[in-house]
Amino acid sequence: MRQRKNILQMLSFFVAAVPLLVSGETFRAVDFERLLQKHPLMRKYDPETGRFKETKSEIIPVENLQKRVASITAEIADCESEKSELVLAAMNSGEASTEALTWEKIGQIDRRLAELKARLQTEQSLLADKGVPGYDKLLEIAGRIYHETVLPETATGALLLNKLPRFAATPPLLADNDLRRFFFSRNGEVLEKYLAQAGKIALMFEKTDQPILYSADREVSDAKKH
Amino acid sequence: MLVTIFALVLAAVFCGQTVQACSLALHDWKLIFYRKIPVPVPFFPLAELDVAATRLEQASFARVFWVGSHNFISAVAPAFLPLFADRAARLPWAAFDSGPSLIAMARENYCPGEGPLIVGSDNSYIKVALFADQSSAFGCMQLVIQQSGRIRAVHPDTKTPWAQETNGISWLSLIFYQLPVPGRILSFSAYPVQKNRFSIYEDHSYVEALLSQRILKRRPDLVVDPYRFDFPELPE
Repeated sequence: MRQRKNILQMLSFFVAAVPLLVSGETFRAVDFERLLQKHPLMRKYDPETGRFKETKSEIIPVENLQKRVASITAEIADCESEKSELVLAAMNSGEASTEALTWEKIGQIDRRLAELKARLQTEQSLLADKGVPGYDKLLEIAGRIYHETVLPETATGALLLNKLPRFAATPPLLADNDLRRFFFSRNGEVLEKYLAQAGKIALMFEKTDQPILYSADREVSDAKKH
Repeated sequence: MLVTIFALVLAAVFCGQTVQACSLALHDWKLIFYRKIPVPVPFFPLAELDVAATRLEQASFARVFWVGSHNFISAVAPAFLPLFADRAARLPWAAFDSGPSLIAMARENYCPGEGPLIVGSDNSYIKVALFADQSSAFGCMQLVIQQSGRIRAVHPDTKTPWAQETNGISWLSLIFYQLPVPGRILSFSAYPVQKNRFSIYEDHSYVEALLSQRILKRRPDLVVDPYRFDFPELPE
């Protein structure tokens, strides 16, 4: 149930997504499910965890994370210690040539330290979340899938309407901006007005159960049938 | 399973969009003026303050020596640092002209007790950029002054001597409607203060008035983190 709620919340982004695609003059409906199945990353999808294996979205055991954090922390301490020795040596030396070399080495160590600290922050954050990467990691992968599957479908300039998965509810219906008006008028401005009310639509998605589908080949959309 | 991926793909579509926002309004910033100017030293040591604040978390020091080819503005700028709520900003800062090397200064101050943190700025330049907001028919504007440069710091701590070399970036941002005059200012902010954007002044009622007149575009509450975006990346 909770997972479904998450999905519904994420689906609310759909309303912000469509304007990108509102530029063409022809209409098509695409079976996203079939498109997604074609992508090689889908073979790595683990339905049990809802994550992609061998990617940043994969859930990491806490024990492994603790080992990684300890290792990075030790490496940072080594780098700091090395810098400390370099500074001490340069102060004792007093030679200008030594100073230049010292700063060059310090610069190198600092770049390495910046990498290590960034990694440490990532690992610690993941550890705080008990090894479960945030949704942003999933979105990165979803974004890649989108770019490699959905975008080519829109390359022709056609307006693409999504068939939403079925949930128990009725289509979003707002007082002045009924999405169904768009299906009849085929006017991009109507859709844009509708989408401008993203917040309200997002709240209504939990009550939505019918696919929003439009096909230029058919006079009646699925949404209108109900 | 497919439903989840489907939802994620749709969400990714949104995330691909670039938006810039302040706390209430949604802006679409377009760069209309840009200049990059080399300067002997940053006018205001905000990035240097960040270095000092970070070091202060690890070891204590009594004062800060800011070394560079100072001019009048940079020489008096440290006097304004206490305006920022930062422990390192409340320490005494002294502007020193470049002369002896940082290591040589550290050597002179290498003694038991709380010594100074020596911070040197060089290879500095400022970027001046003016953005106009397409969403408000180019009426709302943002003036950005970004300082960049190399920062070298040495702490002659007798327990653990320390040094660091980093590229410092700091900026001031003024967002206004049509003219940068009192009454038309939406916000004035600085970065970095405690590693974040620091709002010095914000006129929420003025922003609300512009939003109600539909001059500015309201930021959707659900989808945009107001503090994630400040302005588009400046050219090199």
